[in-house]
Amino acid sequence: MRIIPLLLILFILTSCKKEAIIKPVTIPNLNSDTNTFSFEKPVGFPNPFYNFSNNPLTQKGFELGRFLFYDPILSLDSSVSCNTCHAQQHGFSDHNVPLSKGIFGFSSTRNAPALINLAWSTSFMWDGGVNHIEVQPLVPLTSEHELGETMANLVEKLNKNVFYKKKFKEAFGVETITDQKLLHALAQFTSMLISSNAKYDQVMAGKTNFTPQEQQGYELFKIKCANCHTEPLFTDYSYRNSGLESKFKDIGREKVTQDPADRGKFKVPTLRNIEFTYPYMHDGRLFNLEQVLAFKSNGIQDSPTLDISLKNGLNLSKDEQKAIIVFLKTLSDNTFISNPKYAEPVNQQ
Amino acid sequence: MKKILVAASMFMSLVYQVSYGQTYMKIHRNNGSTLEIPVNTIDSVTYSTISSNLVNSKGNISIDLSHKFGMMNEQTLAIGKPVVHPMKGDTMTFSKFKYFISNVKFKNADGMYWTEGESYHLVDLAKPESLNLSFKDLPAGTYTQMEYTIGVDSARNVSGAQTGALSTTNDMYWSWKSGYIMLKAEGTYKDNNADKMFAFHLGGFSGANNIVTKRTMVFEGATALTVTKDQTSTVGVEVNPGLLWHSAPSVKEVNMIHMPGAAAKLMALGDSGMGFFANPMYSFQVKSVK
Ligand code: HEC
Ligand code: HEC
Repeated sequence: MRIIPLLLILFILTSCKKEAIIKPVTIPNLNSDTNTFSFEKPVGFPNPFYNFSNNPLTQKGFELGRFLFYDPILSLDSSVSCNTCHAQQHGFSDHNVPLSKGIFGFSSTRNAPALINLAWSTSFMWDGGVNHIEVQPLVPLTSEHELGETMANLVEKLNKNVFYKKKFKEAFGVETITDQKLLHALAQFTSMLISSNAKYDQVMAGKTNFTPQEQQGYELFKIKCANCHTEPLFTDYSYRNSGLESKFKDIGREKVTQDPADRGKFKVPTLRNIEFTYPYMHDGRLFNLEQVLAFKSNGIQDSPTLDISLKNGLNLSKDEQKAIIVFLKTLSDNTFISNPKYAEPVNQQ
Repeated sequence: MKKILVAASMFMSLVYQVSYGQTYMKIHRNNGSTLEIPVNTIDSVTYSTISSNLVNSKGNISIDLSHKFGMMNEQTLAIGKPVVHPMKGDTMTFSKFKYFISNVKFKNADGMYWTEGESYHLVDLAKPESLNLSFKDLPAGTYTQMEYTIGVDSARNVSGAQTGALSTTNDMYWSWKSGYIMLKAEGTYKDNNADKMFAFHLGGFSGANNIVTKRTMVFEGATALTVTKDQTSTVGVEVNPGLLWHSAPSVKEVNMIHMPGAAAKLMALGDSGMGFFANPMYSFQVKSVK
């Protein structure tokens, strides 16, 4: 009796007509909201890195993420929310303090970066220690200087909250809130923080023109800055030592890779909305763009890991510095920092 | 022709996806598990084997882990019970001992694989129920080996938020440097009669720091494993975490590891692959099959 294997194969073959090799079926992610809510890639942007493959984007999921982002329930003593350190009017960076304060007024060790176009980012934090947007919130949630929670405690707390029980059920169809769904909801919000409507974008789309000084700044920018702050996202998502210091108080990326070749390297930050995200640098040491440009022009400190493109300094005259600052302000996107879709939701609790 | 229909309807209810690779025919079942049948053995699989063993005749396997210490498993390891390392002489009392076993597959005498779906188990010495790995609905027959991984494969370390055994509520995740803690051992040791703390968090899933290890447990002779219809076959396995310190320094010299790197690797894999994660014979020993 050696029929069945044949029967089996026959069955397989007959059910799939002539294809000898039957490929695994991919089941499409059936999304309950079939409304128009979707991730829209701005014209001219590359494909995003985060593609929601395990976390189908829905209006309800995004709204839930927004509630959570603004809710101090996520912190140990209900005093701090994500928004405490990531404020919309500052491009979702801190409220103009070098080191943001978490629970009990503890200081975080670095400056809270702007949260802009994160779906394109391949790794997170100034040192790139976090490898995925969904797991990024674990750092602030469980850091004793920030929200100070444990994930087990947080999930238990949310499961006792009638409002969130209902919201998670609506968004994900679950009776019990898990850490995974909490992280999925936050990722739906943070990955949708898209800024692509600055004057720069209008100029690129041919809808308006730069002033002569903006144009001069743009030309200089392309030569002096764009190898790191690459258009259109104004970062190449690499880690570089930009010469802030030569004796490192914070070793940056080396902390993560344990490789001395990474000493003093930090993520190249986006420059979109840079006008609103002061103070600047990983430790918030520079308070305005004039200081940043003065530093980039002639304050660069040499060290073995200093980026090769900065070895001879950038040597910008005062006028050139001014022109670059004027250009940088064309990256300000008022529709982003005032978009009601991203604003603190009206509390329905 | 009738037989085809019978076979077809039988498989329709069972088979969720069928793919036909070069060497294995894969059958994905509704319950998440997968059967992989080597194509070159298909000739020898008979109608009755398929109908009764794959479809109707299913049993379970339970892997019962008991934790030991010492050179020859002579000490029992339990939370709060002092044990002595046979080579280093250190007296250690564990308050926490947790590790991941994942990607479990059983191979039968015909070379067919049964693969568990979503196969991640967190073994936690403080939770008796976690010391029992149970596998349900395997086709009846003789199984020659179990293939498994100590740790969490690299894919799950880079794919965002997970659930089940991989939930971050289990406290086995490094947030500041994304990745799973594959093994966590915490407790106290005696240093000149003073009690001091130790905390070893071992992980690393890529490049030179990778400690994720694929292993095989063999069932043969006195521990041959047969799965019988509607029965659970129980495999008794002795696990010896003492091997973590066979190559690694005394806990008096190194009492803390908190990130992937050379120290974690030496502890997990040991000199020439003789550490807890990799030791082919002594870290996981099949003792009995019932
Ligand atoms: C106490 C202040 C504080 C709070 C509260 C806080 N953050 Fe942050 N956030 C920071 C700091 C500081 C960094 C940079 C940390 C580093 O690089 O080590 C950061 C970095 C980030 C990044 C990485 C951005 C990038 O481009 O790499 C994201 C995303 C983020 N935070 C989201 C959140 C979310 C979501 C919450 C709420 C769950 C939150 N943050 C709460 C201070 C805070
Ligand atoms: C070699 C790569 C490189 C070049 C070239 C470069 N930058 Fe940067 N830039 C960085 C890095 C890295 C940081 C973050 C440094 C830190 O925080 O330690 C940074 C930070 C900044 C910041 C602060 C951003 C923030 O959110 O804190 C501004 C503004 C800036 N750069 C503007 C410029 C301008 C303008 C130029 C050209 C004149 C330029 N950069 C050239 C790598 C570069």
